[in-house]
Amino acid sequence: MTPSRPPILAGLVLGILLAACGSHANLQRHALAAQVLHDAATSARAVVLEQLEADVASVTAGVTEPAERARLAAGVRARYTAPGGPVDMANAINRLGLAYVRSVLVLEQEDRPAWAKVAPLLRDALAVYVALRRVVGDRLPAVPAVVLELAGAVS
Amino acid sequence: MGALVLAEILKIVAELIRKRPPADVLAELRNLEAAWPEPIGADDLDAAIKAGLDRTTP
Repeated sequence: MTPSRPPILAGLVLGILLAACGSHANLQRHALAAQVLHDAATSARAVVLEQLEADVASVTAGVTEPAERARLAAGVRARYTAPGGPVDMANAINRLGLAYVRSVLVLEQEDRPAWAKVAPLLRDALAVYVALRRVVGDRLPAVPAVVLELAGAVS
Repeated sequence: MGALVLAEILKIVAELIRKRPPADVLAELRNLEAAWPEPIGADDLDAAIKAGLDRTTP
Protein backbone atom coordinates (compact mmCIF):
# COMPACT_ATOMS: atom_id res chain seq x y z
CA MET A 1 0.00 0.00 0.00
CA THR A 2 1.45 3.34 -1.06
CA PRO A 3 1.03 6.29 1.31
CA SER A 4 -0.93 9.12 -0.16
CA ARG A 5 0.97 12.15 -1.37
CA PRO A 6 -0.15 14.76 1.24
CA PRO A 7 1.31 12.83 4.24
CA ILE A 8 4.59 12.33 2.38
CA LEU A 9 4.82 16.01 1.55
CA ALA A 10 3.87 17.00 5.10
CA GLY A 11 6.60 14.74 6.45
CA LEU A 12 9.10 16.18 4.01
CA VAL A 13 8.25 19.74 4.97
CA LEU A 14 8.37 18.97 8.68
CA GLY A 15 11.69 17.15 8.39
CA ILE A 16 13.41 19.91 6.47
CA LEU A 17 12.12 22.65 8.75
CA LEU A 18 13.12 20.70 11.86
CA ALA A 19 16.62 20.25 10.46
CA ALA A 20 16.86 23.97 9.77
CA CYS A 21 15.67 24.92 13.24
CA GLY A 22 17.94 22.36 14.89
CA SER A 23 20.99 24.06 13.48
CA HIS A 24 20.25 27.06 15.71
CA ALA A 25 20.04 25.01 18.88
CA ASN A 26 23.73 25.52 19.60
CA LEU A 27 23.40 29.26 19.28
CA GLN A 28 20.48 29.26 21.70
CA ARG A 29 22.41 27.18 24.23
CA HIS A 30 25.35 29.55 24.00
CA ALA A 31 23.01 32.52 24.39
CA LEU A 32 21.77 30.96 27.62
CA ALA A 33 25.37 30.48 28.80
CA ALA A 34 26.10 34.10 27.88
CA GLN A 35 23.19 35.24 30.03
CA VAL A 36 24.47 33.14 32.93
CA LEU A 37 27.95 34.66 32.57
CA HIS A 38 26.48 38.17 32.44
CA ASP A 39 24.59 37.46 35.68
CA ALA A 40 27.72 35.89 37.16
CA ALA A 41 29.85 38.93 36.33
CA THR A 42 27.21 41.29 37.73
CA SER A 43 26.71 39.29 40.93
CA ALA A 44 30.44 38.74 41.47
CA ARG A 45 31.12 42.46 41.21
CA ALA A 46 28.33 43.37 43.63
CA VAL A 47 29.06 40.63 46.16
CA VAL A 48 32.82 41.32 46.27
CA LEU A 49 32.28 45.04 46.85
CA GLU A 50 29.62 44.38 49.51
CA GLN A 51 31.91 41.88 51.21
CA LEU A 52 34.80 44.36 51.11
CA GLU A 53 32.61 47.01 52.74
CA ALA A 54 31.48 44.56 55.40
CA ASP A 55 35.03 43.41 56.14
CA VAL A 56 36.28 46.98 56.47
CA ALA A 57 33.42 47.72 58.85
CA SER A 58 34.17 44.57 60.78
CA VAL A 59 37.90 45.22 61.31
CA THR A 60 37.44 48.89 62.14
CA ALA A 61 34.54 48.42 64.54
CA GLY A 62 35.48 49.87 67.92
CA VAL A 63 38.71 51.42 66.62
CA THR A 64 38.66 55.18 67.11
CA GLU A 65 42.14 56.28 66.09
CA PRO A 66 41.95 57.48 62.44
CA ALA A 67 45.43 56.32 61.44
CA GLU A 68 44.79 52.87 62.83
CA ARG A 69 41.43 52.70 61.06
CA ALA A 70 43.10 53.68 57.79
CA ARG A 71 45.84 51.07 58.33
CA LEU A 72 43.29 48.33 58.98
CA ALA A 73 41.23 49.32 55.95
CA ALA A 74 44.35 49.33 53.78
CA GLY A 75 45.12 45.81 54.96
CA VAL A 76 41.68 44.60 53.90
CA ARG A 77 42.06 46.33 50.56
CA ALA A 78 45.44 44.68 49.99
CA ARG A 79 43.94 41.28 50.75
CA TYR A 80 41.08 41.83 48.31
CA THR A 81 43.27 43.15 45.50
CA ALA A 82 46.06 40.58 45.81
CA PRO A 83 46.64 38.37 42.76
CA GLY A 84 44.10 35.58 42.91
CA GLY A 85 42.05 37.50 45.46
CA PRO A 86 38.34 38.29 45.26
CA VAL A 87 38.74 41.39 43.06
CA ASP A 88 41.05 39.51 40.71
CA MET A 89 38.54 36.68 40.46
CA ALA A 90 35.53 38.96 39.90
CA ASN A 91 37.40 40.83 37.17
CA ALA A 92 38.52 37.56 35.56
CA ILE A 93 34.90 36.38 35.39
CA ASN A 94 34.02 39.72 33.84
CA ARG A 95 36.82 39.60 31.25
CA LEU A 96 36.33 35.95 30.29
CA GLY A 97 32.55 36.29 30.14
CA LEU A 98 32.70 39.29 27.83
CA ALA A 99 35.27 37.57 25.63
CA TYR A 100 32.93 34.56 25.45
CA VAL A 101 29.94 36.65 24.35
CA ARG A 102 32.02 38.41 21.70
CA SER A 103 33.38 35.09 20.45
CA VAL A 104 29.87 33.65 20.15
CA LEU A 105 28.79 36.70 18.13
CA VAL A 106 31.78 36.27 15.81
CA LEU A 107 31.29 32.52 15.44
CA GLU A 108 27.61 32.92 14.70
CA GLN A 109 28.49 34.72 11.47
CA GLU A 110 30.30 31.67 10.14
CA ASP A 111 28.49 29.23 7.89
CA ARG A 112 29.38 26.26 10.06
CA PRO A 113 30.37 27.63 13.47
CA ALA A 114 33.00 25.62 15.32
CA TRP A 115 31.40 26.06 18.73
CA ALA A 116 34.20 24.15 20.43
CA LYS A 117 36.37 27.26 19.93
CA VAL A 118 34.49 29.11 22.69
CA ALA A 119 34.63 26.19 25.12
CA PRO A 120 37.83 27.29 26.92
CA LEU A 121 36.42 30.76 27.64
CA LEU A 122 33.19 29.36 29.03
CA ARG A 123 34.97 26.69 31.03
CA ASP A 124 37.55 29.13 32.47
CA ALA A 125 34.93 31.72 33.40
CA LEU A 126 32.85 29.08 35.18
CA ALA A 127 35.90 27.68 36.96
CA VAL A 128 36.79 31.11 38.38
CA TYR A 129 33.16 31.70 39.32
CA VAL A 130 32.98 28.39 41.18
CA ALA A 131 36.24 29.29 42.97
CA LEU A 132 34.84 32.69 43.96
CA ARG A 133 31.69 31.02 45.28
CA ARG A 134 33.92 29.03 47.63
CA VAL A 135 35.27 32.35 48.97
CA VAL A 136 32.02 34.30 49.33
CA GLY A 137 29.63 31.39 49.77
CA ASP A 138 26.15 31.00 48.39
CA ARG A 139 25.63 34.73 48.09
CA LEU A 140 26.48 34.00 44.48
CA PRO A 141 23.87 31.91 42.67
CA ALA A 142 24.83 28.44 41.49
CA VAL A 143 25.53 27.81 37.81
CA PRO A 144 22.63 26.00 36.12
CA ALA A 145 23.44 22.38 35.33
CA VAL A 146 22.62 22.86 31.66
CA VAL A 147 25.39 25.47 31.34
CA LEU A 148 27.89 23.31 33.21
CA GLU A 149 27.00 20.51 30.82
CA LEU A 150 27.49 22.81 27.85
CA ALA A 151 30.94 23.78 29.10
CA GLY A 152 31.82 20.11 29.26
CA ALA A 153 29.94 19.06 26.17
CA VAL A 154 31.68 21.48 23.84
CA SER A 155 35.18 20.74 25.08
CA MET B 1 8.17 15.13 -10.11
CA GLY B 2 6.19 17.80 -8.25
CA ALA B 3 7.46 16.45 -4.94
CA LEU B 4 11.05 16.68 -6.10
CA VAL B 5 10.63 20.28 -7.13
CA LEU B 6 8.97 21.07 -3.81
CA ALA B 7 11.79 19.31 -1.95
CA GLU B 8 14.38 21.45 -3.74
CA ILE B 9 12.47 24.61 -2.91
CA LEU B 10 12.22 23.57 0.73
CA LYS B 11 15.93 22.81 0.85
CA ILE B 12 16.65 26.34 -0.33
CA VAL B 13 14.24 27.75 2.26
CA ALA B 14 15.85 25.64 4.98
CA GLU B 15 19.31 26.86 3.98
CA LEU B 16 18.12 30.45 4.15
CA ILE B 17 16.66 29.84 7.61
CA ARG B 18 19.89 28.17 8.71
CA LYS B 19 21.93 31.17 7.63
CA ARG B 20 19.63 33.61 9.36
CA PRO B 21 19.51 32.77 13.06
CA PRO B 22 16.61 33.96 15.18
CA ALA B 23 16.88 37.72 15.41
CA ASP B 24 15.82 37.77 19.03
CA VAL B 25 18.71 35.52 20.09
CA LEU B 26 21.24 37.73 18.35
CA ALA B 27 19.64 40.87 19.76
CA GLU B 28 19.81 39.34 23.21
CA LEU B 29 23.52 38.61 22.79
CA ARG B 30 24.24 42.11 21.55
CA ASN B 31 22.26 43.58 24.44
CA LEU B 32 24.30 41.49 26.87
CA GLU B 33 27.52 42.73 25.33
CA ALA B 34 26.35 46.36 25.50
CA ALA B 35 25.15 46.04 29.09
CA TRP B 36 28.19 44.16 30.33
CA PRO B 37 29.22 45.36 33.81
CA GLU B 38 32.43 47.29 34.29
CA PRO B 39 35.29 45.48 36.03
CA ILE B 40 35.97 46.51 39.61
CA GLY B 41 38.23 49.55 39.53
CA ALA B 42 40.05 51.70 42.07
CA ASP B 43 37.09 54.05 42.42
CA ASP B 44 34.79 51.14 43.29
CA LEU B 45 37.25 49.95 45.92
CA ASP B 46 37.56 53.45 47.39
CA ALA B 47 33.78 53.78 47.60
CA ALA B 48 33.31 50.38 49.26
CA ILE B 49 36.06 51.06 51.80
CA LYS B 50 34.66 54.50 52.59
CA ALA B 51 31.21 52.98 53.07
CA GLY B 52 32.70 50.39 55.41
CA LEU B 53 34.53 53.05 57.41
CA ASP B 54 31.39 55.21 57.54
CA ARG B 55 29.49 52.33 59.11
CA THR B 56 31.89 52.36 62.06
CA THR B 57 32.71 56.03 62.32
CA PRO B 58 33.17 56.70 66.02
